[in-house]
Amino acid sequence: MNWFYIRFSAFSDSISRFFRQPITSLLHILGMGIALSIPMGCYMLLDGADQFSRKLNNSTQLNVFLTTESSDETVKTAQTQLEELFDGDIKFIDRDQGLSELSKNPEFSELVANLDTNPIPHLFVLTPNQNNPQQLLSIAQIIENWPFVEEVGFDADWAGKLESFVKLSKILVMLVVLLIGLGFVSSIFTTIQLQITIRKDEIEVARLVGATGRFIRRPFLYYGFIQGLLGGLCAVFIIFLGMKYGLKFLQPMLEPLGIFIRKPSLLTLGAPLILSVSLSLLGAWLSSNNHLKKIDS
Amino acid sequence: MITTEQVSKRYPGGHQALKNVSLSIQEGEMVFLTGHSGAGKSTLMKLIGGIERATSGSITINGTKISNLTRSALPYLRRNFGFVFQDNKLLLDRSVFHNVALPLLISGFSKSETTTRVRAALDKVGLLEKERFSPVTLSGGEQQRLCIARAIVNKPAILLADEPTGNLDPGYAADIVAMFRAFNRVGVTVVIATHDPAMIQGLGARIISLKQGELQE
Ligand SMILES: Nc1ncnc2c1ncn2[C@@H]1O[C@H](COP(=O)(O)OP(=O)(O)OP(=O)(O)O)[C@@H](O)[C@H]1O
Ligand SMILES: [Mg+2]
Repeated sequence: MNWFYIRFSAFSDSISRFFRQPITSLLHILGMGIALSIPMGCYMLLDGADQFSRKLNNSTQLNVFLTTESSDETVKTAQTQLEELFDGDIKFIDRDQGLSELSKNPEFSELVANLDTNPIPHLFVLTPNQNNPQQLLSIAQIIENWPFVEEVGFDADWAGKLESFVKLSKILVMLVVLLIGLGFVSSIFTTIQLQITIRKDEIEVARLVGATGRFIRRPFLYYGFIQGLLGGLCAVFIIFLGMKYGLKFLQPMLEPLGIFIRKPSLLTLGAPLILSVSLSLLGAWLSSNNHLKKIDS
Repeated sequence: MITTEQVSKRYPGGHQALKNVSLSIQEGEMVFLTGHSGAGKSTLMKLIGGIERATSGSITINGTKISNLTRSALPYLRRNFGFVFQDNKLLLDRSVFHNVALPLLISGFSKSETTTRVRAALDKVGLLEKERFSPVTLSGGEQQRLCIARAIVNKPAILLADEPTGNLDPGYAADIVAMFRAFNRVGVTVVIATHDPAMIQGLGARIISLKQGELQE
């Protein structure tokens, strides 16, 4: 009961101090929220890209386009040669079939109707039984050299590049988070230092009449906790707003790229909160401890 | 109850405030510490109260050698004392009530216990009706009494008062001395530092006098 009373009074005191300078506190929270939400947003974007590149890698196919003037004879040759070389599913898409499929798309239907000749080549879609991009790449190089092959579409190549780009970017985002974390700690450190300066006399007198270090640190840790919590909540709120309104503009641009931003999980939302609270507590602890050492010497 | 052996204090900067001070104060005693300004009275009080640390020598309080105490143990030592500071150390942005309540808050007393004890302490020094006031609105004498209320609210076994009659007129000073005598009568060990001879005269209490940091016989 008494334990609770002491902490509660220190806590409510910290809260009232926090709101005694509403504009400063608000701006500070906003700054923290923005600083946190930017890398978070980047991370979510990258996460979407990551999902996409993984999907690509899993569904890697070879699209073998024959030259447009290929006869039925050539198609047969190609079919047997491919079956010999390739272990997996081989699907043939006739050029007429390809055209009719294209005309199903309302965007192209008019265009297709106005065509005199069919510009679409015959197509073999090769889906490997085992996903081995390296092996697939060497197969693609062999097929490419066949005289009746116009082009081999192979997307594992840039899927791989995308994946490593995403990986690199994620590391960069982590680095940014680390730097922002450092900035966080130092910013809280200064804020608490200001609070300490305001309450310097109180700390001194409390120390003189027998206050422990823990007693003196407590209100500042609470202050840091409140600040960190509100900053973290602000970041979550910004992300929420971004998901709700910002994504409406972004999604149409991202969709053609195959990137879908997933709703943030509880963990993704919890991470900045935990980060913000613990970094703020660290800053507050360092600051108040620093002052204690100074007055005790 | 209080024993110092060969205690010296040298402040950073090289000033030797105390030199080999050895003394002993019994439980329930009332002692005056006198000497000119700069003699080291405040320094000795602070060393005894665990507020500053001696450069050499040892101080024993109730059988505990305080030079052996760790930094984290000092706060608990300080709670055994009621300390009236020469420079008041009042919190001017807090009420009279809060100033007196601070030591109790630190020691972890319940809210109701705190209220009861603070009122009792304020009543003893005649400031009960001013509990909601700011110390700024009090007269010099009232501020001194407020300091005394804060020092006794913990019901300490030892009261250390550094110039408790400061710049007060003699009548007022006599009132305050009478107050300390009353505490002493109920068993509190009282040490009062003063350079005011009027305060000591005719009290029959033990007088310890310091001169340039050294004990005088
Ligand atoms: N924190 C300090 N740093 C350096 N020197 C100090 C410090 N405190 C006191 N002194 C010096 O130590 C000496 C003794 O000081 P102290 O305050 O104990 O004297 P005092 O007897 O209480 O004097 P007064 O009657 O004026 O209060 C003085 O010369 C003072 O300048
Ligand atoms: Mg003094």
